[in-house]
Amino acid sequence: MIDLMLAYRPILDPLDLHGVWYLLLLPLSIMLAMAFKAARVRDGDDGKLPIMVYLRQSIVFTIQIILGMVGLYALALLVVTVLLPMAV
Amino acid sequence: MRDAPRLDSPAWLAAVSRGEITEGRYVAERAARKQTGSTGPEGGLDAIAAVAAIALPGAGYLVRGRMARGLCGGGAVLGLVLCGLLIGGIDAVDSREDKAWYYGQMLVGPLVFAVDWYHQEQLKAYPTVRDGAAGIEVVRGAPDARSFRVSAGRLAVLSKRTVGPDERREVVDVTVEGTRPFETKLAVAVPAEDGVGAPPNRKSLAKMNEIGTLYVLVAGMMNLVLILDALFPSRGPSRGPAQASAKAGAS
Repeated sequence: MIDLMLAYRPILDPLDLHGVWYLLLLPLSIMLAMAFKAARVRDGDDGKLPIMVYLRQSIVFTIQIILGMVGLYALALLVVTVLLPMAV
Repeated sequence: MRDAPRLDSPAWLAAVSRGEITEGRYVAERAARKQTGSTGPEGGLDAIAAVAAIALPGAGYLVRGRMARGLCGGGAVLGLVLCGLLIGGIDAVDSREDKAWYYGQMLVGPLVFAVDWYHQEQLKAYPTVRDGAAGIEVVRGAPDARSFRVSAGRLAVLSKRTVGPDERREVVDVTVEGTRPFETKLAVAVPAEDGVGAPPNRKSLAKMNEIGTLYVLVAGMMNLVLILDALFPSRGPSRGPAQASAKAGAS
């Protein structure tokens, strides 16, 4: 029974990736950018979605999201480890 | 009017850049289309596309013949939902225990309703009385015989929960005691004392639950963008004549 419980059943059981949880934010950023840019990229001259422009803008937006998260992390780290100890 | 060319279509923009259409005419045309309540691409609402977008992520674009946008947008939203369920398990969608998150997740549409229904009705179970906790009482009779009973008042306040790791889910006949006792079938979490059976799913905890829930919530937010874009086809990123002229000048 222990073996059965340890076996991962997709969708029914959660993944055990607690040690590398931050890596899961990468696919989140990619798919968020893909969904958002599907609505925002302008039509091409043929009136259709220009796939190369869409891919380029999605990659740029993904990088912006990741840099934003890293920036917020650095800011929070600065506040907690430097500024708050100085203030107390 | 639905077949009228978009004001940001290449033909219009080329005419603007060549000076054949003045900026004044462009603005007047845009105002006229809005005033007449055109259902075309430059004005009004596209209710059919919006209903399709609510029913299935990206379907609003497919209805309007925009295959690439529909597949890219809808695929990304469905990918977010699938990844959320793979990471956090089905516990990432829970209308009873994570109500505030569920309000955002609902924007994905019927898919999330179906997942939540399956989670609540096919996987969760009522607790049995164990370690002093409230639940459905297990009455031991003859060996290998047992029955279940609960008072009507207690059943009214009991709520289903995820079956624990040392339990299994069984649908049994339960006697509901009250002024008019009756029997009903309920799913209960019974101890797996004999080592047989396993819980139908595992509860996700900590980061896995948070990130799985976040994935499905972001899917809901992104699907709202797609629904609004399908509902208001004229409110998307527009390209005015000034920008068109600048673009034409640059090229």
